[in-house]
Amino acid sequence: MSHVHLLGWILFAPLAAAVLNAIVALRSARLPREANGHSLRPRDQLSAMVGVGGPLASALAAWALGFDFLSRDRALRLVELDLGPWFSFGQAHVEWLFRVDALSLVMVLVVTTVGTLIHLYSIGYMAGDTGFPRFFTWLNLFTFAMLVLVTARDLVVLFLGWEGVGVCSYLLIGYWFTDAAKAAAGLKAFVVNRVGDLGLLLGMFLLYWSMAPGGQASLDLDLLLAHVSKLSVPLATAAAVLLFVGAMGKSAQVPLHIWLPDAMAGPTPVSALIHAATMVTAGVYLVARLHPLYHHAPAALAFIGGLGALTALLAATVACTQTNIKRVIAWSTVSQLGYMFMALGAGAFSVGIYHLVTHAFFKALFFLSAGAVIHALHGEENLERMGGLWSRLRLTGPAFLVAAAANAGLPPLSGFVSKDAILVATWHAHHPVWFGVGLLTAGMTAFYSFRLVALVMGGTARDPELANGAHEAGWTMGLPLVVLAVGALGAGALEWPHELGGTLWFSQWLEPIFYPSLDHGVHGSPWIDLALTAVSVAVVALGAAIGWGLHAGPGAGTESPWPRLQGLWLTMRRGWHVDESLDLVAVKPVVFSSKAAAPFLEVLLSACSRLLLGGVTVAGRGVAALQSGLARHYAMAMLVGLVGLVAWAVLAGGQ
Amino acid sequence: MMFSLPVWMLLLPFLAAAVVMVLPRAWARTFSSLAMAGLVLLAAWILKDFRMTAELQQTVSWPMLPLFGQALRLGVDGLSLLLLVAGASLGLVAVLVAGKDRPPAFHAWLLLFVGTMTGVLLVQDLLLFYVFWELMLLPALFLILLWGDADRRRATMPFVAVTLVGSLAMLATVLAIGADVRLRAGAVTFDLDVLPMVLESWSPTAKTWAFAGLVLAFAVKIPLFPLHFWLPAAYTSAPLPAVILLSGLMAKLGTYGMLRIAMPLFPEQAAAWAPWLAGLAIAGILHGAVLALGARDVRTVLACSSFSHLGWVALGIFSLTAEGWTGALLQQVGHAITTAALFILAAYASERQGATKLATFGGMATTYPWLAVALVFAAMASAGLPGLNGFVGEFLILLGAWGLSPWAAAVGGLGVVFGAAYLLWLLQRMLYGAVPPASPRGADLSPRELVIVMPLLVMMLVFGIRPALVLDRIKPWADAKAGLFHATSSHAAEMAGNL
Amino acid sequence: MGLQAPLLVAAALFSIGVGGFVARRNVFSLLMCIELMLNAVNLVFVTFSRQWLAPEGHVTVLLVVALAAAEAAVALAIVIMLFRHRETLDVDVFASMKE
Repeated sequence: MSHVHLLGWILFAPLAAAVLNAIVALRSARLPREANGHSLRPRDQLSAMVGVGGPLASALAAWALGFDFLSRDRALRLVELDLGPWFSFGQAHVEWLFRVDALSLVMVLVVTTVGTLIHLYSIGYMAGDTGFPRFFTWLNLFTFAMLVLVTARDLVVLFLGWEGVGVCSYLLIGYWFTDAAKAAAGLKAFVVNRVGDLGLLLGMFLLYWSMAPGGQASLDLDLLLAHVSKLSVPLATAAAVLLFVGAMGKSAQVPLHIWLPDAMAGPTPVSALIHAATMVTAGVYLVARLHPLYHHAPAALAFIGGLGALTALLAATVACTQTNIKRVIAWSTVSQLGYMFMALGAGAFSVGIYHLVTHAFFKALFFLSAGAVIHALHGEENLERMGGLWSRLRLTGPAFLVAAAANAGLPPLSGFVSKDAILVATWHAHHPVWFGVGLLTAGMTAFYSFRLVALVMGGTARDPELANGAHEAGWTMGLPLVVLAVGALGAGALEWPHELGGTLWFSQWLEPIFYPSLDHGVHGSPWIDLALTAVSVAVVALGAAIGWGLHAGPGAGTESPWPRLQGLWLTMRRGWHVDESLDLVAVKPVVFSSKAAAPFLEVLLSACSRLLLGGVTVAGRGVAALQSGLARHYAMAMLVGLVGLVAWAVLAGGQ
Repeated sequence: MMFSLPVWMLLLPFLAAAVVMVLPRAWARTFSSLAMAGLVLLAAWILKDFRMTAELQQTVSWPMLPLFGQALRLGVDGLSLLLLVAGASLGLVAVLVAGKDRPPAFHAWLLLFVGTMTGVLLVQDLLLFYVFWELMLLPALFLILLWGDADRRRATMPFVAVTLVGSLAMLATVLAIGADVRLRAGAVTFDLDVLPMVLESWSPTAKTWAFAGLVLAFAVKIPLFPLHFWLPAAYTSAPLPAVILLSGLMAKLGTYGMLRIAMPLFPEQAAAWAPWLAGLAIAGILHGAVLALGARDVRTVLACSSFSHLGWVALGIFSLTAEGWTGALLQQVGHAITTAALFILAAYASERQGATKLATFGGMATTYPWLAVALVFAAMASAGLPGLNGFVGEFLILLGAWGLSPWAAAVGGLGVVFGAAYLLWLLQRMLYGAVPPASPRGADLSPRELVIVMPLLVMMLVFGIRPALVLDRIKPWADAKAGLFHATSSHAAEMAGNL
Repeated sequence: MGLQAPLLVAAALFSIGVGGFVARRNVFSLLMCIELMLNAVNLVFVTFSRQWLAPEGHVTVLLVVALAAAEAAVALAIVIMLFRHRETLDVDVFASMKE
C-alpha cells in the first residue's frame, strides 16, 4: 500500500466510523430509551465495533507509516495527500492538502494510539448509557478533526480541525445534556475557545496581509514559513503573539484556562482523550509547527515561556487543594501544559513535544484510572468519600500509582525524563526564573499527585459502604490501563538523558524539523546537567513524601493540612478567583448590556421613530380637515390649482 | 431574445400571482409551489449557462419610450446570479412551509414579493430599480399586516415609516440624476452603464448628497445600525414564509443596492465613507449579537442574529477589498440558507412547544432528537464553523476588514465570539436540561418537515466543503469591481507592513 | 391649417368640460365632462404632433383613447352599482370618501 493510501486511511477511517455511528445514533434516537444496567444492546455492540475499529485502523496505518519512515532517509520522511482545492481568495488558494512529516507523525501516533485505547475503554465505561452510539459518533468525529489539525498543510485547513475539535469537545462535555449545568460547561468551553480562535484568525490575517505586497499572499504553511524571515521583527512578534492567543485558548493557558476545569463535566474518557492527551496539546503543536516564526520573534517566545511558567505554577497550587478527583487531574493538566510552553519558550521545541507525548500517556492513564475509580464507586467523584481502595482495586490501584508517579516526575518514569529535560532546557536558555518556577511546580506536582493517591487509594475508607461495593470493570477498561501504564513507565527510554547514559532518540527524530532552531550547545557540561537533575529529583521526592505523609494517615481529608493557611487554601481552591474576576470584567458587562443596555437603546431608537411618526400623523390630521368627501369640492380644488399653475407659467414664461 | 430567461423570470411570478388569485383555495398552495419551482428551474438554467467572468450575461434590451430612458435592460452577473438562485429557492421553501389553510391572496402576495425582488436583481436601470424597490415594500407590508401575529400593527408602523423615509431619499437622488442627465445629455437615461460617466462631472457636494440618499435607502433595508430598530418586531411578528423571504433575501437587497448602485455611481464618496459605514456595520454585528443574547423569544433571537449577520456582509463590502467583497457575496448566499433553516426549525420547535417564549422551552433534545440534531447543525453553520457554509464568508470578510484596518477585524471579530455565545445559549435553553413537566409531547420531525429541511442542511455541508461552487461565480466579479477601490486596499497592506 | 382653430376648439371643449364638472350633480354628466376634457387634450396633442411632425403625440393620443375607453367601462360599471345601492345619482350624496 502506498504511503498516500496510508495517510488516507489514517485520516478517513475515523471519519467513516463517525458517519456510520451517526447513522446508528440517528436511527436509534427515536427508539424508546430504557436504561438496562451495564450491558450492551445489539445496536450498541455495532457502534462499539465501528467506533473502536475506525481509530484502530487509523492507528495501524499510522504505525505502518511510522516504521516505514524509520527505514527511510531523513529527507524523505514526508507524505502528502492532495484532495483538491477548498477555496481561493485574492491571490491565495486553500487546498485540501494533508501532510505527515516527522512532527505530524508524532502527533498522529499519539492521537491514534492513545485514542484507540480510550475508545476501547469507553465501551466499558459507557455501557448501558442511552446515548451510546451518539457518544461514539462524537468521539470518532473528534479523532478525525484532531488528525486534520495535526496533518493540515494550510493554516485554514488547520483551523478547520481546530474548530472541529472544539465543537466535538463542546458536544462531549455537554454529553449528558439533561443536566443543564453540564451543557453549560460545554458552552463555556466553546465560547472561551472562540476568544482564542479570534486571536488565531487575526494572526493569520496579519501574516496574509504582510505577504500581500510581495504578491505571494498565502496561508500555506510552507510558503508562510519560508516568508517569515523577511518579516520585520515587530510584525513577526505581533503575528506570533496573536497566533499564540489561539494556542492559549485551546491549551488552557492563563487567563483562558477557565474552561478546562469545568470541562470535567464530560464523561471521563472524554476528559482523558480531549482534555488531557490530545486536543489541549494542539496549542503546543501549533507553536512547534510555526517554530520558524517564533524563532524570528524572541519576544514572543519569552512571552510564551513566561506565561507557561505562570500557568504551571498557578494551576499546580490550585491542584493541591481540590476536592474532586477529576478536578485535581484537570488542574494538573493545565499545569503540565504550562510546562510544555515553558519548554517552547526556552526554544527547546523537541523537548516540549516530548513532554506532550509522555504527558499524553501518563495523563490519559491518570484520567482513565480515575475513571475506573469513579466507575467502581458508581459515579462518586468526591475525594471525601474515597480512600482505602488499594486493596479492592488490584488493577486500577497500581495503574493510578504509576500515573501519579509519572505525573510527579519520579525517576525513571517517563514524566521524570521529560520534565527534567524541560528544567535543564530553561536553565541553559538563561531563564533562571523559569527554572525556579519549574522546580517549585515540580515539587507541588509531586505533592498533589501523592496527596491524590493517598486520598483515593491509601488509608482507610472514609465511606466504607461505598468502598465495599467497589469492583474492577471488564477487560475493555483494564487493557487500556495496562498498555498506557507500560507507556507511562517506558516512554522515558526514548529520551533518556546523556548524562545518565542514554540517547536522545526523540530529539534526533525531530531534528530535521527543528534543526534550524535547535541550539546544539545547550547541553553544556554533563556535571551541571547532573546537578540540576539531582536537585529536581530531590525536590520531587520531598514533595511526594509530604503529599503522601500528610494524607495517608487516618483522619486525613481534603482540607488544608496547615490550619493557618486555611484562607489561602480556599483562595487556591477557587482557582485564585480568576474565573470570578473574568466573569466580572468580561461576561457581566456583556450580559448586562444584553439584558438592559442594548434593549434600552432599542427603546430609545423606537421612541425616536415614533416621535417622527407622530409628527407626520399630526400633520396628516390637519390636512385631513380639507377632505370633505365631495367630488365636486375636489374638482374645484383641481381647477383652482390648474388655473394657478397655468397663470404662473404664462406670467413667468412671459418674462 | 424577446423571451429569454431573464424575461421569463421577471414575468413568471407576476403572471402566477394573477392566476393564483382566481384559483380555489385548495389549489393555491400546489399552484404557487409549481410556479416557484418553475422559477427555480429558470434560475438553475441561468446558473448552468453562466460563464465564470465578471461581465453581465443573459442581457436583454427592450426599447422603451424615450421619456423614460433608452431601453429596458435586464441582465445577470456575478453579483446578482446567486441571489437570484437563492431567492427563487427560498420562494419555493416559503411556499412549502406555508400552512395548508393559507388563502390564495397569501400565495399571490408571496409570489409578488419574490417577483418584485427578482425585478430588483435583474434590471440594469436606476429608474426601474427604484420602481421594483418600492413595489417590494407592498407585499412585505401586506404579508405582515394581514397574516402576522397579534403584534403586527405595532410592528409594521416603524418598518413602513423608516422604509418610506429611505425610499424618499432614494427618490430624490433618482430624480436629481434624471434631471441632470436630461439637462446635459439632452436625452433621458437611467442606464447604470451610462450614469457613472455623466455623474463624474458633478460637484463633490452634490455627489455627497446624492450618495447619502442612496445609502439611507439601502441602510434601512440591510439594516445598518442604528436604522435597524424596525427589524426585531417586524421579523418576530411576520408569518414564517414571509420572514424567510425578509431575512433570506430582502435584507440582502440592501447590500446588493450598495454594490450595484451606490458604490459604482459614487466611488469617491463610497471610499471616503467606507470606514464610517464599516464602523456602523461592526456596531451592528455586536449590537445584534448582544440583543440576541438577551432576547427572550426564539424568533427575536433569530431576528437579531440576522441583523448581526447582515452586519458581517456590510463589513465585507465596506472593507473595499476583493477579499471582503468575495466574502460578503458568499456570506449572503450562506446566510440565506442558514437563516431559512433556523427560522423553519425554530417554528417547528415552537409548534411542538406551543409557545415561542424561551422560558417555556427545555429538554427538547430528549424528546425530539432529530429536530435537535438539525437545530445544532444549523446553529453551528450560523456560528461560522469551518466545513459548513458560514465559515468561508466570515473568514474572508474579516480578512478583508483587516485590509481596511486591523482594528476593524479585531473588534468586528468579537462577533465570532458573541455569535457562538448567543447561538449556543439559544440551544442551551431550547434543547438541554430536563424536560419541563408541563411541556406537551409531540412527534419528532415528520417526513414532510424532513424533506423541507434536509436539502438546506445538505447545502450547508456542500457549500462548506466545496464553496468553489459559489465562489467561482462570484470571485471574478468581486476581483474586477473591487479594483475600483484598489488604492485603498494597497494602502491597507502598507499599513500592515508598517505595523 | 394654422394652430389657432384647433386650439380654440380644444379650449372651448375643455372649458365646457370643466364648467360642467363643477356645476353638474349627476354622475353621468360628470363622466361626460371628463370625456370632453380628455378629448380636448387629445386634440391639442394631435395638433402639435402634426405641427412639429413628431409621432409621439399621436402615440399618446392612441394611448389616451384606449385608456379612456377602459376608464369609461369601469366607471359605468361603478355607476350602475352605485345606483343599485343608493338609488340616486346625485354626487353630493356620496360623501363616503371622507372616511
